[in-house]
Amino acid sequence: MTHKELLKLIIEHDIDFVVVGGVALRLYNSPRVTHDIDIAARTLDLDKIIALMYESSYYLITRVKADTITIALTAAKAQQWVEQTKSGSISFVSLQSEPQQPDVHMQAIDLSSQVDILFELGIPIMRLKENARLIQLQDISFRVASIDDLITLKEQRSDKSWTDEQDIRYLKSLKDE
Amino acid sequence: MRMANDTVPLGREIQHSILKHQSAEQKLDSLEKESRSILELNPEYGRQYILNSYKRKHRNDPQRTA
Repeated sequence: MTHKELLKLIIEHDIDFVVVGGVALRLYNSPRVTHDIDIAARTLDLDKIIALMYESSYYLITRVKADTITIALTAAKAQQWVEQTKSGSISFVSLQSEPQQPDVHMQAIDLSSQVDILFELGIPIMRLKENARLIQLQDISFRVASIDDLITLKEQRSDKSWTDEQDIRYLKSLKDE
Repeated sequence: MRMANDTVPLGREIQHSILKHQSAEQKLDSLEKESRSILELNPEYGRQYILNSYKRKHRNDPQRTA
């Protein structure tokens, strides 16, 4: 599924969201390549999001090791895992074939399919929404976090990577344009 | 390095100025195309990306950033 198809599906399911992360940066013309899509959403919509992802053959990752990932095989198991771990972010991937067991070899993952849903960011979702920029595609529109909020989110990271530092520099340069 | 689609990679500033003139749809399409090219060329990098991304997102529980 393409990013556009995914976003369209989320909109159709009446789920509030704001695009953050590398895809947001690309929409602000950054040449940096990301391999996942980060979506900030409300905890209230957790059940709807999990149901939607499983209907679309995406699976929640519950553990990652060097060669294998563990997934929740059903939406119910995914819900249970999130409730138990109280995880503030969840990651989904799609697989090349339907999994028979929770442990899946890394080679079976569709590597370009990673979707991260973030519930607990340093900026509340309502404020992200208020400040967001509306992006219009041919048949859908959605919100992307503002440049200032993207900078704040990156700066809040205690474990900033080299890429984060580059992104902050890039976003700040946009404010001078 | 030559990319999978057999084009020579452009400098970041040139890419930035090209992107500035593209529609949002074109930006998303180009991002996904570039990502797929990289992952096809180096699937091991893609697996490491998933591993590192997961570890990073769960290291700072409960407060995370994008």
